[in-house]
Amino acid sequence: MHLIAKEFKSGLKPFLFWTLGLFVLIFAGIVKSMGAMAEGQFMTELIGRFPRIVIAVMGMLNVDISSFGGYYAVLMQYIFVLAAVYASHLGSSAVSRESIDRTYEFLFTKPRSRSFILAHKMLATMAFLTAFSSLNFVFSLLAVKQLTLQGDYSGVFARFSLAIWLVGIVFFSLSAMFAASFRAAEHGARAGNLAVLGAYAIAVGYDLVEQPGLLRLVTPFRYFLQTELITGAVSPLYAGLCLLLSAALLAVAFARFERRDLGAL
Amino acid sequence: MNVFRFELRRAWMGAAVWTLVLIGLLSGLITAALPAFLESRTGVENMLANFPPAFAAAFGMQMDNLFSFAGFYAFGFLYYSLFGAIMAASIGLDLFSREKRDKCMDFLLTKPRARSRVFCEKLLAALTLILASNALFIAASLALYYAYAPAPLMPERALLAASALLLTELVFLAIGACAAVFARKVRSVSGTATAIGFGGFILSALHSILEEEKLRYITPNKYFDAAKAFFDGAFEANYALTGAFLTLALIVAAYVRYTRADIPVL
Amino acid sequence: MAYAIETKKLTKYYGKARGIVDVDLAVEEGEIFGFIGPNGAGKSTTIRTLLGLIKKSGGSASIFGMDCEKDKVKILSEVGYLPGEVFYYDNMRAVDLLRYSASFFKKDCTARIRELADTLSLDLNKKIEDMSQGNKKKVGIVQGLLHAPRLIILDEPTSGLDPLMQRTFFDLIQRENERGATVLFSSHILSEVQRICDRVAIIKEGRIVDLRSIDDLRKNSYKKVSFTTENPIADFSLAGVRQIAHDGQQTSFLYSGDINALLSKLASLPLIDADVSEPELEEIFLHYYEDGEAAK
Repeated sequence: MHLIAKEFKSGLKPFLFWTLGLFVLIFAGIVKSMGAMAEGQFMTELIGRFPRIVIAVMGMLNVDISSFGGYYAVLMQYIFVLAAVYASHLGSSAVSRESIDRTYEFLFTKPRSRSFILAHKMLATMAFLTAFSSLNFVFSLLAVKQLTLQGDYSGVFARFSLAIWLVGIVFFSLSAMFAASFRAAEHGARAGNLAVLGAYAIAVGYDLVEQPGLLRLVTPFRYFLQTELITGAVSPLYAGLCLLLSAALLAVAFARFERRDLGAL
Repeated sequence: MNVFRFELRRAWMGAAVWTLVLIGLLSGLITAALPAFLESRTGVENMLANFPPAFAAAFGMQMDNLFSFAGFYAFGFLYYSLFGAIMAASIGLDLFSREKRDKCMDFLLTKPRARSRVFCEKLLAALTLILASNALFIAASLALYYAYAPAPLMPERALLAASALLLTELVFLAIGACAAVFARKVRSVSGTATAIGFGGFILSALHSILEEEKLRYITPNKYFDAAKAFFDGAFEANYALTGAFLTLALIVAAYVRYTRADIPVL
Repeated sequence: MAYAIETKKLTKYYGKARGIVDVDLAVEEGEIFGFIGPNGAGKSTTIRTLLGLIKKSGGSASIFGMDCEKDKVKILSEVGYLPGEVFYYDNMRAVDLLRYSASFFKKDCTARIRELADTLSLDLNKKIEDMSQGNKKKVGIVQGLLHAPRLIILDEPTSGLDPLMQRTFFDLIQRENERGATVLFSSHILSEVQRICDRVAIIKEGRIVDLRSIDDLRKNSYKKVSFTTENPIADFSLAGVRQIAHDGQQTSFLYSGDINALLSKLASLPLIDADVSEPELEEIFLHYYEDGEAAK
């Protein structure tokens, strides 16, 4: 349990940093949504005339920003990326923190298996991701109270927050896998960051083409489409995929980590 | 100049990859979307006809600016500056935390070089990378400008607009260098650089949402506005000066710290 | 002529924490000077102040007559430094690191790098991060000596070297010394210091507590005496005896004083065996600490 407590302590500062970003974006975004929605119909029509690629790059495809749900979905685009970058950071640091600090000899000579130690570290870092997604829900609820909106949006907020968590754990696991596979910690972290950027580029590409087909499977950013999250539910199929994918990636991460040579870098 | 050469050799690959990504993004966006974007103007004009005249008039004023090479370039600048910021911050972090990360401050600082000289050579290497990267980016921007912008051409404005990225990157280079020198420990260059880059991105998104002018003074991505450069032929002086002052202040702070700090035993 | 190293009341505080206080050292050119003390006594602090890695809080320090802060760059071109633990840039071959290191000096060090690497049988084409601690240490040694420095500063240099390599290392240092280099050798292992040093300063809790030549230390201080008798002797007493210990038939102590008095006293005993020898520095050294404890 010491292990988890220590991991909490060392992860607290970055967590506060990312949470601050989340807080600022959500409050500013939601509080200002009234003004944007007033011009929303005009903007939606205007944007509708733009070429598809421009809309795709802006992340506004298929959303109606004259409704609060549509506006929120655009805002969430940023949060998805933010969460993915943070999750990737969490995943790689859970695996390689000791290698970077050169304290691995201290930790991994204790009478516990590497998997035991890594699992506990991951449990702690995963808690940060969970807290981040939950705070997304809480901040959204608090912010929307400042507005005089009709209707109950807690369902929308909950669905988006859950989707953020699900996408987050995929990037978390992917980065953990990279960190366990590369010898140099810096290379693992870089691969994780590049994966997030690459996935975002593919997401734009997904929006770009009329019939994306299997492209959706390649980028977690499109597992949960904005339109579905606003109106429908969190797709159980893709939620399952997220969990499965994370489990598989983590399994690889654990296997590699168990077998690798521990050392500095 | 051996420190300078050493740093260049170690860091040029990363900068080269980022430069390729930036130029790929720029030319991809412009060649794939600019022509269609300019054509969509008629559609927008038709749509405006259905709106109240006052509304349409207010917006119609901006039509020329929006549907131009400049307007489109400025639209993409949000993303260029995100990537540029990450690149510049990571160069600053990488060069100035290299010995700290590899625990070999002793090695470098017991060589017969003044710390001020070491700092300057590192800074020069960082600047060289940023300048080289931006020379390519600016060249690509100008080439695309000549190829895609309708007459009359104003290449000096295009040049100024493209150099907005360079100036923005200098701010982030200084932020990265300062972070590297003051941090007790730099765990991951790419992680920290991404965080800094997205921090800037969030501030600039915040500024767009809130439309609060004061906020722009702490938004490095918006000190040098490519759109303004295109349309007015100059950056807004107060913000540009803020950027220049901030960059200088950060570099001086990093210099003072680097040349004076006690080097702890590992 | 100026001393190779001279400090006067050199003091360093880390905030409020004591580093070193009023350290006076005068190392003459051409000698091998030992600097001993337990962990945390201030050896590294003194050395890092001399090298300009940390700023002194007070006093003065000079090397070859030049001020350690003002003329730092000039001094460093004459100094070779080897720390206890060596770390270098990752993803770099030894030869590239050494070339980089050599590029800071205005002379061609290629031949000397070869020569030193051969002496230490070090493979220069390997990546440093793939090397063992001992081999990394060898890279450190070459790195510290490649510019034929006039002053060599060694901060607990032998950790990680096997006994055979330690001997090679000491031979190397002695050869450098014969070439004319002054050596400052810090260690907490006294037998090492005993092995090559001419004079030694003892530092404790940030202060120099003694300074003498190795010979002087040995000759003028104590003899280690032990003898065995048929029946245990409980009441052995003689002026100049200290640290007396009885272990069954055996009695042992440190003695300083007239050797004849000792011998005649011993002759009066029914001895089975007796041994008079020079004590290890450790044993002499011990009393600095014991006295310190007693003073408290």
